Amino acid sequence: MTTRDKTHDRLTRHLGRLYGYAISLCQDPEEAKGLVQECALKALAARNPPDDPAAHRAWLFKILRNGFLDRLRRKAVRESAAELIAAEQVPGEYWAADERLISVLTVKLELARLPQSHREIIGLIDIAGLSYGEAAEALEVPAGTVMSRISRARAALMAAIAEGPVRVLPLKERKSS
Amino acid sequence: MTDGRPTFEELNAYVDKELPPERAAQVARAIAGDPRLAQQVAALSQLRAAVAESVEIPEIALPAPAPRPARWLIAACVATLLLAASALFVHLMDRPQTGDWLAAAWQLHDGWSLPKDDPSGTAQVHAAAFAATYVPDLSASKLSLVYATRAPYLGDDPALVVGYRGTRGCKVTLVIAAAQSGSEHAPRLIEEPARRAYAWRAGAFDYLLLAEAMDPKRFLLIAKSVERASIERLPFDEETRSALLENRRASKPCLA
Repeated sequence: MTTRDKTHDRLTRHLGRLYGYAISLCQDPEEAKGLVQECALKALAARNPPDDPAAHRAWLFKILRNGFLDRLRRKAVRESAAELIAAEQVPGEYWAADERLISVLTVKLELARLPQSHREIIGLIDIAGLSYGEAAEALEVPAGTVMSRISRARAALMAAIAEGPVRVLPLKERKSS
Repeated sequence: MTDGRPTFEELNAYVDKELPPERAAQVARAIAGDPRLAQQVAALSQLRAAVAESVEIPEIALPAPAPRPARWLIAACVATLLLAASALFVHLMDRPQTGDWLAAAWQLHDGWSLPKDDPSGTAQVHAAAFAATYVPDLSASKLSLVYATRAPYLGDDPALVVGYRGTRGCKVTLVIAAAQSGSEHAPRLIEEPARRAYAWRAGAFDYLLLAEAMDPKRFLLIAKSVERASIERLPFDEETRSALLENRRASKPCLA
């Protein structure tokens, strides 16, 4: 099996995850598809991709991220690369969580409103399913930073859900409606 | 962690199965003894699942990898292109006389054939000169860059002549020359029996794309795409690439 064939196989397995990460970055399905395709083209053209599966996976996500940052630069969008690594305020160590509020719908609504830095790390860990180590590799940061970022991002998402417009009705009200 | 009680970060790492085994066991014991921690973990787990479900993954096909051209050919084309662009840039300020630009361009088109085996003229490159012109990658339309040179165009004025070859007999030439003062600015399609040209201006340059016996729709799409990209100075976006590829599939071979 040639290097390109191997990359092709691995890409095929990761396409969905790459798309999940891409959509968390750009929030636009067409652009996300474009980012994935662009990433795939670059990966297929690479002469010496990493051989180790985990390193290869992280490498693919790094390519996609760089492609996205290139687009940002080209568009001269002020939401720059710096924003991606901006530290966010941690909203307290714990939050008043109520898991009954968490549903796909609320997550969808609130995820889109999060700052890009939060969306990105959630995209890598929860949507693309990368380990902390792989995400660290893709973002070129220490694994400890990934651990901090994902906890901040989830806390922000939980807070947004708690304050958001979607509420689960108490059982009685639902019956009467 | 303080006094054995897991931090919020650790709870996240616990849910993600990223804690070392020993610490994970300690956290599990703490959760078992504290309903509030258990609630946090349940909420985090549910959040993870809901996030993963919140994204609909569409069907995505891998792009077909283009066959890799020989390295020497790439090197030869790039070196020649850069050299030619460099020379063209030097002449930018010295503007031309008038002439039959279209006939001159067709002459340039007719004047090149397949790339020579001798990749002459390496590397005396002025990077800024290369940046001054836009040379498109037409691989999305299955056209490979095979030729590039600097050639006299109108009078002594130079033009950058870039040649592309398809796999079904197509030959496309892009002529790039410093914009002619007093020449037409508006994009225009010039059709003659069995051959077409499309001219436009982008920045300080006049561009002229030429092809013979090419499917008219295909030619126009390529021309419009190159025109837009030359003005935006950006590579084709995915939509354009897909359209070019699809269009090429649907078109007939060039019959020149």
